[in-house]
Amino acid sequence: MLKQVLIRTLSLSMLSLAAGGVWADDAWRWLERMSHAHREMSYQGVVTYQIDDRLKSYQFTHRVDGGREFESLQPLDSDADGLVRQGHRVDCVHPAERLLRNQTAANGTGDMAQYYELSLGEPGRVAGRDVVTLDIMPRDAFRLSHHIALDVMTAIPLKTETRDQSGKVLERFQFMMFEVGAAEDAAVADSAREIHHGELLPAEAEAQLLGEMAWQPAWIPDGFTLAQFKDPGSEALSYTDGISMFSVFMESGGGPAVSPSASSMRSGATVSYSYPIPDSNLVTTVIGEVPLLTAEQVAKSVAVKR
Amino acid sequence: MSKDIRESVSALMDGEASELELRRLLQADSEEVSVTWSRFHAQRSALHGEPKFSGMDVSGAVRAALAGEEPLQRGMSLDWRKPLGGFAIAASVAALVVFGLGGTGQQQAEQLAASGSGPETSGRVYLSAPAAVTTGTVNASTASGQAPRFQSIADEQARQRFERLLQQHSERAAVSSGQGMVTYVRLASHGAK
Repeated sequence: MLKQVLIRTLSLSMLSLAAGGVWADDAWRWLERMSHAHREMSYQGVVTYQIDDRLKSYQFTHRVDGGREFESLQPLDSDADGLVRQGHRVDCVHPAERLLRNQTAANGTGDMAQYYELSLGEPGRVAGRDVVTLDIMPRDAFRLSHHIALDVMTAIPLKTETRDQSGKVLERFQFMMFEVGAAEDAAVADSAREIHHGELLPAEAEAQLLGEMAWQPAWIPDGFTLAQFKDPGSEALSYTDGISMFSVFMESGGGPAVSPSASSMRSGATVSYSYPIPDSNLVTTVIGEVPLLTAEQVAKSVAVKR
Repeated sequence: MSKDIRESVSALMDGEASELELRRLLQADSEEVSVTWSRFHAQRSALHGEPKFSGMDVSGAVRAALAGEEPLQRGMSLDWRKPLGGFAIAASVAALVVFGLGGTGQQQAEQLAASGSGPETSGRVYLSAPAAVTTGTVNASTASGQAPRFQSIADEQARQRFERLLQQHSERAAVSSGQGMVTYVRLASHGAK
């Protein structure tokens, strides 16, 4: 019995090796297209967001106007305030995009292939449109897996599922209705908030930024790179591997009344791990779309200088 | 490989570990526990026909051990995802798990947790392969409700911190993850302005 299992496991890995060269390249290109397509076009629709048995729905609008992005998300099933964001220029390249570009430039054989295995699945239909499906599987224990359905015409993700290492779906995001093109709503646009810009740091700049910080994690999983943000007001470091992201925060612990304990929270695919730095009044929190194992290891490695 | 450890790990994975089994695991040689833990995971993935991690670097030692071992019957027929799926969700944020970091006067459950995340496993753990997963994973699973014996409390302060930092993180992720709208939906679902 177990022998068969072993044989099966081995043959599957051989199969994926054989497949790797031919299809993986295509899969990486779809992912790279997705990373900028969803920013470059105007579109709107109704999306649902599901965590466990909770389901929420939103009217979503993404508009590109004069080379700048505008996004609006209005809840359809509650009185809660919506979210309105005004992005920066469409032609600026974001950290994950940069990593994915490097990856496709290397025909899918770049660094990211060490950490994720990509494959194209069966085509299907989402929100009445034809989609290609993309499976993103981590090769180590520090990342989550993703299943994404991309609109064939536009490469915009119409459905994404984020799963843990056992295959359990942590959250699901899906368009119910989708159309290309979006009308302007001046009233909503006025309340839009500017979003901050992030970029990947070259090695020297990264060393300089870390040198200025009073603390830094001594360990991060291979493949994650520091992304810098113009985000005054918050002392944090964010890391991306091109697909997932986590941020490391440092705060004061709130005095001796607070018991020294590590805590962890989860919401959908996002986990946090807070860890009090021994012999200090500081608490570090790692938060991101990664397994708790990753958040915990990074948090516990954070070292305060002097 | 001790039979007790094997059974305890299996029970933990099924979410059926007793207090006694939990203690046994926490006191046992952590290397032995982690090897057992990762081997069972590998077996289960294979048995459930999940080719997901076929690309993973499963160490030669684990493979050899797999080949020479008789199949483990206990709990294999159960859907082991079930206990994972059972975790309760508060209004907008999920379960909070607090691990005590030692010290006197802590509750027993916290002390139990502490011995698992104590000096021998805390700090940096360099994992090269899944086979090297430490007892950190045992703690990790508690947060998804697998071992409900760890004290689960609704700590208002921790919840507020989570929501505040989640918002900052998501704002950053929205312009970096290549899945902008998904991160916005995460943000909106937390009632961010």
